[in-house]
Amino acid sequence: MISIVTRTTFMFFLVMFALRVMGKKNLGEFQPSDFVSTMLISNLTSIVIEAPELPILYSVIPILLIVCYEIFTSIAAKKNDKFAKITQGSPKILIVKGIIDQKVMSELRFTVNDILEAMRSKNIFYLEEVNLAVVETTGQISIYPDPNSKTNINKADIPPFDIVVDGKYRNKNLDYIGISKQQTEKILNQENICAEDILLLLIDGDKNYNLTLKELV
Amino acid sequence: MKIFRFSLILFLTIIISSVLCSFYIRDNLSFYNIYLKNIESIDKNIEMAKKEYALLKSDFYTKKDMLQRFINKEHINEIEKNILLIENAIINNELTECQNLSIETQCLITQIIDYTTAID
Repeated sequence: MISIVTRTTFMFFLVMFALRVMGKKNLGEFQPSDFVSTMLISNLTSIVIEAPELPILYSVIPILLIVCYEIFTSIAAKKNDKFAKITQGSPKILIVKGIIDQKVMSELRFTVNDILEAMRSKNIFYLEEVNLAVVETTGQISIYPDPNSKTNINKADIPPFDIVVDGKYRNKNLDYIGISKQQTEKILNQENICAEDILLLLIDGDKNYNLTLKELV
Repeated sequence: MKIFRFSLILFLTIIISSVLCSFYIRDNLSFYNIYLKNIESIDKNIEMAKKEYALLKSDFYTKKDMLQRFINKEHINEIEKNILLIENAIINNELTECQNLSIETQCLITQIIDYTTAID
């Protein structure tokens, strides 16, 4: 038992040291390589704690080696832009002036829900309010709101809800807005399109809508 | 740059020490195999077998702790068990059994060398 206690204590401080040397503060800042290193380190740590018959070096050496590789890759990425692009990727512009770049969206395998979620987390509910949305290399979406949006958009009491996403109706959201499916179809008829062609239809409480059609990507 | 130098030194230390460790393990375990081969090849001479066995045993127990730092303890225990079985066979004058156990231990040691030093 004492062996497990000493091993756990030793591994705890070793992993603390490893993460400190790698210089990461929280999971949100993780690049793919950081994530891989952290995953591997956590697995390697558990190996010797769970199996006291294994020499502690079986975990210590791979952990230290991973720390070295992590430092080498981050320094190489700092020195060489091409290498950085390969290992960390590059930020991608997802929305420009309220228009979703569907090519980038499918490239990154993002869904409309991911975009709406990121907007909501920044207190943005209207797509028109987004001047620029960038997907960072960490996977987070950074949004620069339109500085004029507060004056240009007539906001309703009920914020816009996603009524049609990827050609499918969200029946629950129709009730929130207080609009029927028939009324929505009427709007679509006026625009001369069918639901299957829509990537995203947002309607707010005042029945103002924002329509994004599917593009062939 | 300080961190780079530190990691470079650490990396080189790991690489060099792991190569040295591999040689250390292989050399020591191969040494046991030589003793065991001698025990295996001794026909009808139990006294010679005893001599070889005494050398093997003392060498094994001298280096056991060190080897445990690099090799799975279960493997070391298996070798130890076989060594004690060989001792038992020698005490009971069972030379054939002793030879069989030597062959078995050699196979085990070769396997351990493969596990710890081979690059697959």
